[in-house]
Amino acid sequence: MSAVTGLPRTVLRLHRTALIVWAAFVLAAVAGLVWLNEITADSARASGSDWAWLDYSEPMGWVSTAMYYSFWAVAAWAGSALIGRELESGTARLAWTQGLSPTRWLAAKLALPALVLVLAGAVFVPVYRWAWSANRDLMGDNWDFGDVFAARGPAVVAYGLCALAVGALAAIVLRRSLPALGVAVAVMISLNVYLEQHREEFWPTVTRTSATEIELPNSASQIENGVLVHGQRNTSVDYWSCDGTAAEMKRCTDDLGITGYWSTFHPQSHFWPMNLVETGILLTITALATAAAFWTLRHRTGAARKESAV
Amino acid sequence: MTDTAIEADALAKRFGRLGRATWALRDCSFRLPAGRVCAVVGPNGAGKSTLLALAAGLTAPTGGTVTVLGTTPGAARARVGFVAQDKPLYPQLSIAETLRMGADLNPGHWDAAAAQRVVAGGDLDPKKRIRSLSGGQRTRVALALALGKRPELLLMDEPMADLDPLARHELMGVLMAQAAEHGTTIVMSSHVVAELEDSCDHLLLIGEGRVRLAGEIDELLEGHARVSAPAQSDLSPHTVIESRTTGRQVSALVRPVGTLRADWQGGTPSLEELVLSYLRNPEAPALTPAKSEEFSA
Amino acid sequence: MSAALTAPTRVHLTRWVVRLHRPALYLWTALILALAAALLWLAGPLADAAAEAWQRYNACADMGPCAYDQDAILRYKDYYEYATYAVLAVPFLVAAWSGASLIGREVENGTARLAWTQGLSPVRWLATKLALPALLVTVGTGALVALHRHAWVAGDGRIDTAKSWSDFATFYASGPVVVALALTGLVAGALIGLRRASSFGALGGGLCVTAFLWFGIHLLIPHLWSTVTKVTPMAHNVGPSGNGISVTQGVITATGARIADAHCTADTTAQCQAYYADLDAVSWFNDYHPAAHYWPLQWIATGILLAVTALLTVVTFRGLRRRTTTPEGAAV
Repeated sequence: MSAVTGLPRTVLRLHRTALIVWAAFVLAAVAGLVWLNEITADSARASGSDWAWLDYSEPMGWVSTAMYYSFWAVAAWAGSALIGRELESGTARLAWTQGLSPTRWLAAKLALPALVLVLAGAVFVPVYRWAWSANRDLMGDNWDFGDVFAARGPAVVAYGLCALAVGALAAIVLRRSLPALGVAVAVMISLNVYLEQHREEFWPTVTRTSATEIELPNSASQIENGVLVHGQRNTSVDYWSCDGTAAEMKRCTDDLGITGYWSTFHPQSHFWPMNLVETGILLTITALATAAAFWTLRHRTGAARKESAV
Repeated sequence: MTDTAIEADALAKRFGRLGRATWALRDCSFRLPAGRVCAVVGPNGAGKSTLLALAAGLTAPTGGTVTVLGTTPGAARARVGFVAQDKPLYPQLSIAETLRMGADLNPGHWDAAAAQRVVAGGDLDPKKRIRSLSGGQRTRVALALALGKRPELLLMDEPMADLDPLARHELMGVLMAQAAEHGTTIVMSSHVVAELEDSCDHLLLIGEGRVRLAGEIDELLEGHARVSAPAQSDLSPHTVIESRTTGRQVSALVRPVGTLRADWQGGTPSLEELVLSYLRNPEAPALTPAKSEEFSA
Repeated sequence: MSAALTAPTRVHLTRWVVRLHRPALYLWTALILALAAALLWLAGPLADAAAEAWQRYNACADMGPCAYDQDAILRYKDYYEYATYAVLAVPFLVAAWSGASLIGREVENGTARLAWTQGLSPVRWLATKLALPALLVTVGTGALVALHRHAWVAGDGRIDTAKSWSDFATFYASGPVVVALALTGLVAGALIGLRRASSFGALGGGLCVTAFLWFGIHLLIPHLWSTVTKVTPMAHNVGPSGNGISVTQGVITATGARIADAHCTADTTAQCQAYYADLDAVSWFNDYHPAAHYWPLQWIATGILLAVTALLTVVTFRGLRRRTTTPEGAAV
């Protein structure tokens, strides 16, 4: 079998260590999930201890956290080892003189890692979705937790792809591996923090109002809640200090002018649209960064050619 | 000042871990007298760079010893200049800063004027960053840094490879002037033999990690002879380095023992012929000062 | 000597270490100043506003509705968290920079060899390259840690949602342990930078060693000072008491036997009550570190990390010396 030939094989050979480390990481994560659900979950439940569920839920959290934040490493790697080092040391020029245009070089350098990231996601995400829902009674998390939210859908892959493109762009613009590494990681962290904070705004929330206090299902992701004071929404009335018998409660809330309650939230059914919107945003940024990387590279090598012709 | 610039005794250097280890140098013994301009030649991967790095105190030998200017390479550091093959320099510094760094790191013996001269010869703007220089321009700065140190021993790994013919000629002149004026011992590796013939007076031929030939170039050339003899001639007792039979003639390069037969046509080989003959025939016996002393004994 | 020889008489390496790493020096200074300013702001206006909001809240909680600045409380909580994690990231930043930029890149590009063939030994080169950053890292991280402690003290007891001293992020960010870890990171990065040919590999290696040592010291810390034991009679019905870093919790039976890690956390459920009755448990015990143990734990952990750092430093220097120099006396 020689399905992998020429350029892809060269890229694979050059970054063999990274590929091995990544494959080991993904396989360990998947194996960990299977082990936790097939072995640890049952033994935790059987032990009957108050804390035993932590033996299961803590490592489950580590897996999703590690996979979620793996884009930091992808950004660092893309900025330095994948592109930055080659530009810095001049081996990129070596490649460009081997009958390989700079754009094809970059295309191969990006396409293969992207393929690897997508394949890793295709393996990890379904396994994680199964693992996360298999033993809900032992877990204390919710679908709207940052790492869980990303790892249960394509967003986790989109973060990796975006990190790859941003790392490559930073390396091509800065042409030096360490500054590119720093910038790529910083940009991706900022982007991630921003998206995590604004995730809930990217899809319309559900608002429920009621004359009585609202009991949301456990899975709902509450954004804001409060009371209606003479029909107006209010978040700062301290109504939970009302206490006592039902009649006392009624008097207390009446004194405050409370006529009802409201709550805005995302039901669990919003998971898919929210995850897809975030994936879309990330892929748009990925596309822009990739286009910018190609444009900069073409512009620069074109200019370099003119310069050497003089 | 000692009269020996470098003395190696059974010097060996191994790279890599057990199992996959390779010997870059093995059982390497020679003596280079001070004040010589010595060429280190050999094919790619022969161990030239390793030998220079050992003499510069950049790497420690696996076995044997090397003495530089009468002491260890580490102790001789201040008196030895080194130009590595890839001419590493700090890309973020300007040329002027690079030279100022040389002055700061080589207190007491920095020759600012000499360094300036080398840089000025290339018409370089001292404010230019190293990052923006061409390969040849970097070589010039690296040489300026090494010469500014005013070393007693100057080790250079492929120093001229990046230079255009004009710059090569000019800088070789600078080096020779340095050697003549200050008695600097110069050791430079190259695989372009022709480039060394005019300027070097000592040769060190390395092949597969061992010393194949070592000595004064004149003596080495005199110690060998090119002969043309009838095809079936017995060339013994002379040591045959290389022989080729064409028709009824055998052409050979030999190391004569005693006098050669008068009817054989002969002559002294050129340096290039000598070097190529040894390189083409890895089994040919080595000739080093240690060995030649044994012969004369 | 000719007039051309106008060189200084002493090796001036320090100024070149500064010159070569000027961008890093600027970034470090900016980082320290920005974080210091943020911590001062946290300790001053933000803590005061949050404390006042809590005071108002507590004052009127019994009497019914009241207006208080909830945003001030949340703001303090958020910024405290950001500042804490920023301080905790410092050892990793130092390790990454040390492995990649300070040493790794020089080895990768061959400029280390350029430096070693000037008039100074590789050992001297490494000593200067480590000593100067070590000084700046100690001063900078030390200042951050002191200011973080200041900000924590400003909130402690005044802000009900302020983190306890035993919260691990707070514990590390406001004590000398993190300074020692930053130094460990510096040396670990240098050690790997000298051994690995690639600066990216050295960066990753430096981060891994730092993370590994942090994890190790985290497991070790509770055992570095003898614990205080608090016994609470079963009748209290609330579980073991005593706030701080807990090492072992459990129950004591009528015979005086200690059963650690008893399955239930409190005898609130019928199941647990039955379980404890079965064991004949009479009281809870809690082996823990109270707040008074804060400084002993910090300083012992710091000492251990500094010892590890010293060991790594020795290994680094020995490795460099063995790599670059013929053993003494071998060449006569």
